[in-house]
Amino acid sequence: MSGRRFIPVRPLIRLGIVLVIGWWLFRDTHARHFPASTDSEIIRFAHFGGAEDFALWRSIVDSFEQTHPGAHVKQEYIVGFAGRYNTKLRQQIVSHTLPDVALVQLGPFHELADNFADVGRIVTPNVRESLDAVGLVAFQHGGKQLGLPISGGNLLIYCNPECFEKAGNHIGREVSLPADDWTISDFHRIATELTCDFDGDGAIDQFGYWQTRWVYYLPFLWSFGADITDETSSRWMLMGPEAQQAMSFYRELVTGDRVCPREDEVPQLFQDVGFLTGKVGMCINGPWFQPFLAKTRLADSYVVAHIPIGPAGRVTRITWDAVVMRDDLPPLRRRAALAFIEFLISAPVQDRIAQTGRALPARTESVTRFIGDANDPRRRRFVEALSYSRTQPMLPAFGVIDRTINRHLQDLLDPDRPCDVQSFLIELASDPVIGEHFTDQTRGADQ
Amino acid sequence: MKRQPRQVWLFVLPFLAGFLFLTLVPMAASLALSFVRTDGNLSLEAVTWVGLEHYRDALEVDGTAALTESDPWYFGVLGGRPADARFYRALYNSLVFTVFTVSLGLCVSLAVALLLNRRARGMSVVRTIVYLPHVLGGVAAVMIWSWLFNPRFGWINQCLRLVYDGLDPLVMWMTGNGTGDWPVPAWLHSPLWCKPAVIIMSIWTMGPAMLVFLAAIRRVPPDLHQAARLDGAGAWARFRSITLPQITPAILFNLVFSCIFSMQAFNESYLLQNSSQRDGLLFYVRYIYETAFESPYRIGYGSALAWILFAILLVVILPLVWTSRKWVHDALSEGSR
Repeated sequence: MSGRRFIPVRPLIRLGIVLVIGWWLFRDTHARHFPASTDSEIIRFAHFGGAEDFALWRSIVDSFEQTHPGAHVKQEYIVGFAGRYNTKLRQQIVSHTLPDVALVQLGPFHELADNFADVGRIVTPNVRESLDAVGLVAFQHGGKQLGLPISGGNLLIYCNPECFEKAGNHIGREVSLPADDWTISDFHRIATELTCDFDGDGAIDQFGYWQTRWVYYLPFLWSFGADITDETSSRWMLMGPEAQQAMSFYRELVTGDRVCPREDEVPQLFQDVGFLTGKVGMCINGPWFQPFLAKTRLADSYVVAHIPIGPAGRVTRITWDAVVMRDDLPPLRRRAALAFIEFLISAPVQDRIAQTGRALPARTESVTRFIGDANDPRRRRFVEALSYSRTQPMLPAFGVIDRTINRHLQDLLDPDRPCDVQSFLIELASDPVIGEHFTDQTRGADQ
Repeated sequence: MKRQPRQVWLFVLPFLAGFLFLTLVPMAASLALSFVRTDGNLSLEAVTWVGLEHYRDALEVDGTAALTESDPWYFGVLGGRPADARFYRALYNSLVFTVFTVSLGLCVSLAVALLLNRRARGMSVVRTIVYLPHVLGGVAAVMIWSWLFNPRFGWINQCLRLVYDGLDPLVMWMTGNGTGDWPVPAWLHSPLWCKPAVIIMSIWTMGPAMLVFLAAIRRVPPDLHQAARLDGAGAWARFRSITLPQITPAILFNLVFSCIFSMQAFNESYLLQNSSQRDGLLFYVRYIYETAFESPYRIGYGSALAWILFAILLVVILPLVWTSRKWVHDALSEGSR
């Protein structure tokens, strides 16, 4: 052993190279997954939707950045329907990578609410007065305002006049468009008249109405006087003569009069395409359907009708999207996030959301912008319908309950299966999943 | 024995690091997670120890619960209604898919390999075409098939209708009724036909298995065939007595991997699901995904389901491997004897 002292230059250089490469490879990953470790006015904002939604939010983000120098918003966009977006949010919660500000639907809001910060300090008396009261209350959780409504939408009936004309020519008399005070029996009659086998080959070429999801059947269910749950969502209520009547009507539409297509009759066809191509004469949808139709040849001709009046009156479902803030933000990001949320509920932004016609603004004074200067009767219907719109109290574990209801509905709507509606209601109410999430469902069944 | 130079570790290190951090650590984490309840939150304070509860919840059957007409037949075999009916549905669907995909897939790929082993002009192009579906693979292939299986506009039903039209005069002559009212399958929109549709789709991507068979067939010593020919053996006798025993290692390889990949099938189930199928395409891995990563977000339960699948695959594959000494031809050990 010589005992000579030396500096291990080559190993140190190698280590240095490894560290530099490692930093170069993983710095973005670190910044993305540990954003709380860095505090700045750069915030992440997540939303979902189509290309028009992206363009709208892009322009809003640009305006915010112009009016708030120093603040920067990174737009995180999940393409398409909200289902995948909601899944993504849940995954981000589990992996502690929730965006700083996010758009959240009312459906999953209460399930996720524990991860959001109280934004109640923004709700000054002025703001409280200007925002839709139902929307504001809908996003309260545990006594705190954990989200602020941004935009909403209620469900109404869309009519394709070309289908009405074709059906009229086929049956040899006019099929009239719905009147403002039409009833469920009028709806049934018109839908039946619209259902046509033009070429006589036994296959229906034009269906009267398209009922896509059970959630979109709620307006009919409520108009019959039935309900899914009570106000607190703790008791299962889909029982009794009203529910039986409502679900019998649903089964009749699909299996009896063949007014509604089954999934295998319109395979891989989305509702919007089915409506546009004249495969169905009427469908139920929210205002978000309008920008799509505005770009089609039906732009000037499509008609929006009120929900038909049922035995219990006329009710439709309204749902709200809120903006929420992550609850563990460092001070600078928190300040920027709050400023961005305040900006989103400001009159100019709310006016801009309203003008697109995609959604009703949460700020009541912006509703006139939704109708527009042209006073479009189709847009006006959605505003008029606010008077009979209500929200569905949040279902616990929505995904599981949604699957359970769909599974039972498949039995009810199967034409090859003799199904007693009363048995359907009892089987659904006594399903273990319903039993797990609702108390007193048997009492509901007794009613 | 000569000692390996230290530099060897430099070359092995990337694999070891990948294996450790991307395979062993996640496996250990999922095993640990299968014993805890996460309630959709992976913070340590939110995690509670539940031991074997998830495994019990998945496998438990309530023998006292009366079965209804809408319950599948295999609930009767279980002796009652399972606590988690969807677990058993998913397991049943995956097992049926695996049995048919593996058996039909191996037969078809072996037959195609035998055909492609012939010396003919343009055979290499044909081999490439047969392998092509595997290259295309994944989501794109599934989406193409979903349109081919479209009950109204898909080419498969259009072809079926053409066949019906062709048979019409014959059927009319024989039975007095034409084929006009013969139904065509609703394929992916039917609980009955969705599994056959996906099985057909899977057999289409048999390229890799075919390639393994082809390589094995090519390694069969030609002198064995020549000797058999001289002894007057026909094509079938030569296949049964020479080719088949010689390619048993390839059969074992394809069998084991086909079983594993079929039980892990996800794309078809996830992309082609619709409510008309009534969970007919709910495959096991999709159920794990739904449970762990979609509502209700039970990551612990999903991890337990993954380990149950691991155990099932072991139960299926270990006997195959153990008994392989009796039926798999081992050319190396034979040569050393």
